Amino acid sequence: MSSSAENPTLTAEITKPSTEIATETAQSAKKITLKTSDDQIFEVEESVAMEFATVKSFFEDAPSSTDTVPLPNVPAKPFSQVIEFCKEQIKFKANPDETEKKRSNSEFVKEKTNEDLVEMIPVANYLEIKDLLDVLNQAVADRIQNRSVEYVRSFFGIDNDFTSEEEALLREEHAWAFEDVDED
Amino acid sequence: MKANSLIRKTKRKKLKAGKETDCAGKSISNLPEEVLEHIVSFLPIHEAIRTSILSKKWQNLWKSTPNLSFDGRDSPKRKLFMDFVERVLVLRGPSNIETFRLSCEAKDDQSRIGTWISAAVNRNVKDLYLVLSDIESSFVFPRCLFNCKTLTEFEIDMLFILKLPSSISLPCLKILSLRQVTFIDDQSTQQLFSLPNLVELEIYECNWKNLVWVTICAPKLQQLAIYESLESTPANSGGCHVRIFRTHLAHFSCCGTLSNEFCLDESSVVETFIFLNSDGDRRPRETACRSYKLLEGISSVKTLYLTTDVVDVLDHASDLLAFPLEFRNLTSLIFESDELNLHSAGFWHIIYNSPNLRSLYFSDVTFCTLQVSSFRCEVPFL
Repeated sequence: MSSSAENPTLTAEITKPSTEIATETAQSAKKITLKTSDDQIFEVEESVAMEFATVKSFFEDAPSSTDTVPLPNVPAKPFSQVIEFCKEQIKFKANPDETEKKRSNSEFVKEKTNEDLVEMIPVANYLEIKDLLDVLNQAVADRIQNRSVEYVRSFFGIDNDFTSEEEALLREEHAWAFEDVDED
Repeated sequence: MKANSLIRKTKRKKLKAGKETDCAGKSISNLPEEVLEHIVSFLPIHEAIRTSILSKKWQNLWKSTPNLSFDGRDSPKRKLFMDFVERVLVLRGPSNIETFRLSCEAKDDQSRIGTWISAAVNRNVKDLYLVLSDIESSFVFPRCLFNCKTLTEFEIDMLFILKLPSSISLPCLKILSLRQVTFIDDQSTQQLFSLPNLVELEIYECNWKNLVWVTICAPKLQQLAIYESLESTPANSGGCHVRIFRTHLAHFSCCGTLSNEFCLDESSVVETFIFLNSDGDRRPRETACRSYKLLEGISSVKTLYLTTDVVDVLDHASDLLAFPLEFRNLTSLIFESDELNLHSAGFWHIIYNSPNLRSLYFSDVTFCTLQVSSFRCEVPFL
């Protein structure tokens, strides 16, 4: 792990009290090293990393691999938030409680900015974390409801590739769907 | 080297490191259509259609949204609403419908509504909810609805006569909830209540007047709730005899005046609510027999909620209490509402014949005509 000396190492426990790290080491929980697109190194507990279907299938192909797993599509910032989510999810795997899980999920998205959510979606999709994708997609859908077309474009960073004539035509064509809807 | 396969797999969506926010903005547009469709599917249909003018990529995403919910009950422009539903169904194309929810006044659009229901069935609908008012007596569901291979949840709230075909095949139906409907005959109703995969059956304020004998025999049924309508059965009719046969329920609720007879036969239940209201009962002896029969059938119950009328009414048929009603598994007995007459033979009969009773709750109960001597009754386990 010489690379971790050169790069800043962000362990998944970074925000956790040190006692927890101690107990985890005592149980010698296996760590998996992942490298993000912006060359940040993350050491993640195996159980957390196995939540990422993409990484899981990688280890199914090579069970004994100790290589650093490159995640070329995953920038560090959304990735650390994704890890935060998966750590919570694991608790519910051992101890299923649907109401508490829902509460925890809605708490998770509530704290996030629009940008956070939008950045996490491609990461969740690439890592194939279905539960997170459901939570995020629902959350962004909630945030764009009753918003104007312009607002939604800037929310997602969508480039409008219609010409103004095309757009006017479409608006006219879809006028029936805009009845009774208040533009903001 | 193995890592290479991971990279190769995803090479085409490789992000450029560096300007992160810029990347993120682009990356959402680079997402596969399924993900964008998934986002759109969480939007109400109006909003989903609005996404079509975001960009070319988004133009047709709404057409595959599987959840369609139309609520026109408070819509001041009824015609506009009905045309809207029609256009969505025509324009959305051939993708599957998972949920179809329609709430509106049916009025003279009955055939149109029938067509929409057929369209949902043809698109393999799973959950169908219909809250329709102002229905003409001629309204009939399209026949295909009762042969729908995918229907899993079916809820209707419709004040109308539910005409059923002679043969019903709903192999996936798990949840059935019927509100306000009038059943038409024993045979077809029984078929509907005895579907092979039914797990939850709710019958709220329905009219049983055309029925005489109905058996509910659904091997997978876990939850059964029957709320009688207060005015459904004329006082001189004997009501319907409903037999719940070979069914193992986790939960059973029965609320009303017992104008119909309900009994469990070769069946078991864990938790039961019986909320009887016998105010102004003109046939107390019959109600007493029905209450007794109902209690007799649930002898396997562990937790039992009763209104005090259930036991009070038994005093009108005290001869029945000579036959023991035993509740071997009963551990919690909860009484709700009104006054409890501690002289009621029925009350003590249940208490004495529940050898494993651990807790007895009275919630909002007033004890009437309580005499000191009543307390002397020995209840060894309390």
